[in-house]
Amino acid sequence: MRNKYSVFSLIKNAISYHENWQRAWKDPAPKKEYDAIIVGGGGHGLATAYYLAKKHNMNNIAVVEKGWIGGGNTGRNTTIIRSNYLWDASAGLYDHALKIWEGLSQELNYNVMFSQRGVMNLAHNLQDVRDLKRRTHANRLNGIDAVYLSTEEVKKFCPIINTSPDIRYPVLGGTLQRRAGTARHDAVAWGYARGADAMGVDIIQNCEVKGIKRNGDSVEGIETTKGFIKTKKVGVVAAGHSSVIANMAGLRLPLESKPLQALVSEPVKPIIDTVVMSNAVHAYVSQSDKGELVIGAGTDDYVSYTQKGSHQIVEGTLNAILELYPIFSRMRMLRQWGGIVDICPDASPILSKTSIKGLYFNCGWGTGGFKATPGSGDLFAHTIANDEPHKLNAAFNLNRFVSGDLVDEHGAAAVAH
Amino acid sequence: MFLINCPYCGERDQQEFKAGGEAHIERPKQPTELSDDEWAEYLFMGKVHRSRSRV
Repeated sequence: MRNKYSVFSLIKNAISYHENWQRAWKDPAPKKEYDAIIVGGGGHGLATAYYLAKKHNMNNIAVVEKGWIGGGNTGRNTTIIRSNYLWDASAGLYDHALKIWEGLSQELNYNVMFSQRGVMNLAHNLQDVRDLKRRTHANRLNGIDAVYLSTEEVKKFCPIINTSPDIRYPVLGGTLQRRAGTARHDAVAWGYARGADAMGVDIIQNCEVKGIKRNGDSVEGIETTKGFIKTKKVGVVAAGHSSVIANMAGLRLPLESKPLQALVSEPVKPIIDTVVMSNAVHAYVSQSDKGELVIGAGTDDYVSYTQKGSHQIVEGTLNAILELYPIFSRMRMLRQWGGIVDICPDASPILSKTSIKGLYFNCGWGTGGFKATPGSGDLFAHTIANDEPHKLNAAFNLNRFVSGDLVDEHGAAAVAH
Repeated sequence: MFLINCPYCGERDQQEFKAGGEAHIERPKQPTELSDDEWAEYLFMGKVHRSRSRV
């Protein structure tokens, strides 16, 4: 039985010097067989397992993770959550996730520190202005909150932005989604892991998948560093390494894996209480609860699997940050890192069945998957349990690259990658 | 910014020397005869594997 976290449990454990907290999840050895196995213990994978157990009564399942849970892109992103996407299919997908975020801490009994501080997207040229106005209208038609702001309103909402007309890329306006914001990335992985574990899901860390065993066109199991595990359903949620896993099953995916970088500054007192993103100059910034500025940079221009990224990408981002926020000119950056993101040709994800029975892929989230974590898990669980996509992820099938029915979000992404 | 001295055009930004992606992709010789699957293969399915770079 899982003990509930509450103010009373906090007091009780304080009295015993916090030495008797229950383990948040077990550390089981793999069983011989499961009804389904999720490959990848990031936020999306753990959420998938959680909803499989919770909504579809599949409790004899496991999550296998090469390293430790939440150690990949879940722990490497800039934690921005928004749903102001242009196309109807994307709006449905991302707003489904945002609605789950709004009640997630209560549902998981785990504080994911979801903070609806708003996300502002800036326009720096006339085309940006037109695109953002169009996106605002499209969002509102889809029932997603969005407002267009003038330069003065941008300045009023975030006073430290340099709105002088003399800068190289002046701020001509922006959009604001007030329901958008940030969350604590580790807590999302840990909260889902704890919730899934309580329902009987085995979370197996340090267990790398080495092969996928097929019998003709069906899945029979997976080879791992902890031995062979039999199963009829495998859901792969491996982000930048999805194509590597696909190759093991003899499949190819339309993905390119690239390093995406982020960096944080030294912690300072509260200075920016929202998230500001800028497509044209590629700069986005927010402030963590610890006080660090969290800055997102771009992807490298070429395919790579090294979790670091190139220096000139950081340089370009910081140039833009300094022009927009001269107040940060003497801030020191503390840490910089990269994560391997899997980018689809249309910059939209794949949540889909494949030509192999029992093999499912949830990938292609590219540079913006964190925001979708709860929705992605929910819809992928539905797809695995029913062997059919939910209506919200039907458009994000693998066949769209053959049919040509792409969900082209390149133009609507908040920053250019 | 890291500048690289090009023997033909002098000092250039390192960005200009980046790997341009998958090379030696053959364009379809008879585009009108390609099936949808073959188009998808040509346009989207990269052959990039996680491995050492070719030198």
